[in-house]
Amino acid sequence: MRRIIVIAGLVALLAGPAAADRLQVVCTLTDLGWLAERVGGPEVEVTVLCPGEYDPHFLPARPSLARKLGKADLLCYNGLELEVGWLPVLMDKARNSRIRPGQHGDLDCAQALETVLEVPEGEVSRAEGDVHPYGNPHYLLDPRNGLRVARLMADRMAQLRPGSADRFRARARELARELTPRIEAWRTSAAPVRERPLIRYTKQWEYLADWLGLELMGAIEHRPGIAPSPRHVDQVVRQARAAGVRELIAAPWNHLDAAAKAAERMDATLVVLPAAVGSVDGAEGYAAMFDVIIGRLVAGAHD
Amino acid sequence: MHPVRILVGVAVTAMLAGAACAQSTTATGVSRASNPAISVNTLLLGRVADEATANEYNGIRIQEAEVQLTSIVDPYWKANLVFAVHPEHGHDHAEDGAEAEADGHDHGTRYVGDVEVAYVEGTALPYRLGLRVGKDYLPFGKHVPLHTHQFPFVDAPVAVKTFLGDHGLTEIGARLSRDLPLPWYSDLTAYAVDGKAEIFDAESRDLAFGARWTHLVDLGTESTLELGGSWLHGPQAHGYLAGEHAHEDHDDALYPDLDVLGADVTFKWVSASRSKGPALNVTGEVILPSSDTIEGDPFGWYAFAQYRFARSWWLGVGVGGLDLDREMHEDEHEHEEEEHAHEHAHLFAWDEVFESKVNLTWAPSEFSALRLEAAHYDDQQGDADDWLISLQANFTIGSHPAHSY
Repeated sequence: MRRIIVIAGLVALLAGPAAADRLQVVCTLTDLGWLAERVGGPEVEVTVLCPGEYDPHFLPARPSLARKLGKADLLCYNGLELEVGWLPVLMDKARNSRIRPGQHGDLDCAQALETVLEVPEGEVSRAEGDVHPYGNPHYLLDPRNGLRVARLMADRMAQLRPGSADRFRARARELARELTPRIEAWRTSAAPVRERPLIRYTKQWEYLADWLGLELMGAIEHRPGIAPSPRHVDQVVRQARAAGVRELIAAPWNHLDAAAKAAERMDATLVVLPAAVGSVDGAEGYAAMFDVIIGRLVAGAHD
Repeated sequence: MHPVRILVGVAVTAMLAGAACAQSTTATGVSRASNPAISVNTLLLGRVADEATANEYNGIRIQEAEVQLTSIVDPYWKANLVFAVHPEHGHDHAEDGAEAEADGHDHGTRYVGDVEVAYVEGTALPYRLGLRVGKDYLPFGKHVPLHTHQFPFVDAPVAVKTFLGDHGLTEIGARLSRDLPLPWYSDLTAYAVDGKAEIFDAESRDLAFGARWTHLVDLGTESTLELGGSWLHGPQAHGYLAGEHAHEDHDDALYPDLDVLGADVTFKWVSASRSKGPALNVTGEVILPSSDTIEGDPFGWYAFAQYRFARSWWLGVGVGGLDLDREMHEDEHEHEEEEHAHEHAHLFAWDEVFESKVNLTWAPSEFSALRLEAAHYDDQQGDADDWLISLQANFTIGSHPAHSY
């Protein structure tokens, strides 16, 4: 009998915290989900709302996602109005007071940033398209920001589960130790890409370029959310040819047929980069995503 | 209300808001940090009918202008207010003088303003309960809760207009909602309201109440299937479904309670392959009113499909029907034959209607759309039919809250 009790106890220990005791963390994006799992470990259960293959600007606000939000102890979102088209709708439907703004369960991960790029100066006008008024929200494409977000998550998880605070913070430090040398290595590997400017399909690669030291010359879709005019595309193509651009970079959810035509006209290679964890094969994790990004950029530069 | 007065009112409100924004928060104590999100949506409509002569179906007008304010009130409530300006109801219906009666025209569109929506919604209720108190569209079916700028076609389906009111089913009251613990998303909403909408007897002191139960199942990450059932109960308005030429001898009678049942099904698919890629929305709904004074078994339905075939382009196809299933009195019959024999002023005033619609929408951004639509209405008797061609411009300025799924 004693043996059974001991075995049962060992099984319970090995199984880790029971699901009911685990901190329920809902992340809007796959990148945030990966970071939350790394930081939270077995003490948290992570659910992601926007699958990697969806453009996070336009996720359909399915009520089933609201149900997931309804069970959350902690909501981690990108912020800077990236999810403004669907998260408020889900929040209303979720009826979960633990994650309402101002509560400990509400975590705007953009708070971790030291610098927000492309914050509009002066008056914001929709003549420029659907501009994000608080700045470019695609900061997770700089892995240094990922580490900052991981630290922020650890602090907030620690606040919500003080008993596991040390473990959350230790995991965030461990992640930093793991990624910091790779961040340097990725930057070094990208040297060939720095030789020529890049054209991008949409303005979502600014943080990546800032980190890697890339020159971004122009965007096919220069006004966010608005289809480019043929005249503008002609202009970008002319500029790209004059500058000897080799690569046109795009996200998997961009209009790749239009991007491919533009790339062909500028004698450049269309390079589809994972803009989120899980958005292309091989980019199933945050670190793996940067492996794919650097690999494809360098391969494109050599084409 | 005169349109100029309304526009001046809106302009003054905007100026006051602007003045508040311009002021220094520390020097004046007037902070803009907590200002509500403000948006204005306007629908411009130009249309022409083949037969109908009323202004409602001919000419250019503002279909609706809607000012919306949304904000968190405090840790417990969120508020939403919509002030709408639209053509005066009934003004097109040749009720405004002998001249109008003679030719079916009015002379200049009059506009009226109305508080369309004004509610607070609880944000900190226990047990994941939802509570909404104030004025809002009733949660009946899929079409009634839509604001005009969300309509899939320029006009609401004939069945909705006839059975649930021509001018939107908004009511003051309270509604309670709960996501039920089922394996799929299932939301039950029950409400009690004032019962003063046009389908109800405004002089009655009885409340109206009802419920809606929706079930939504994910079919993968790109598709959903929704099934809904609705029920509405309240004091029936005098003349409900009685038609334009109904007998007057019911006027002093006690009208019974009205019950309306509805069932709807919706399939949605949004391709994950690219931003604003292909998308499909197919919806169907049936509506069944009943009461002690309603003859026969009136029945209405509609179905439509909207397909996004290119980044900024939508194609819409819709059909619908209405059958009042009532026996016409002799004098009504004569009157209707007379109406059919001559050029008539109005569409839809038939006991049986089949409608079919097709539209093409160009939506270059989330904030503007142009829609060209052709609609055909048939009385199913071979006596009357009509075509209605519409061009609608829809634009939104300001911070407009995202629409629900």
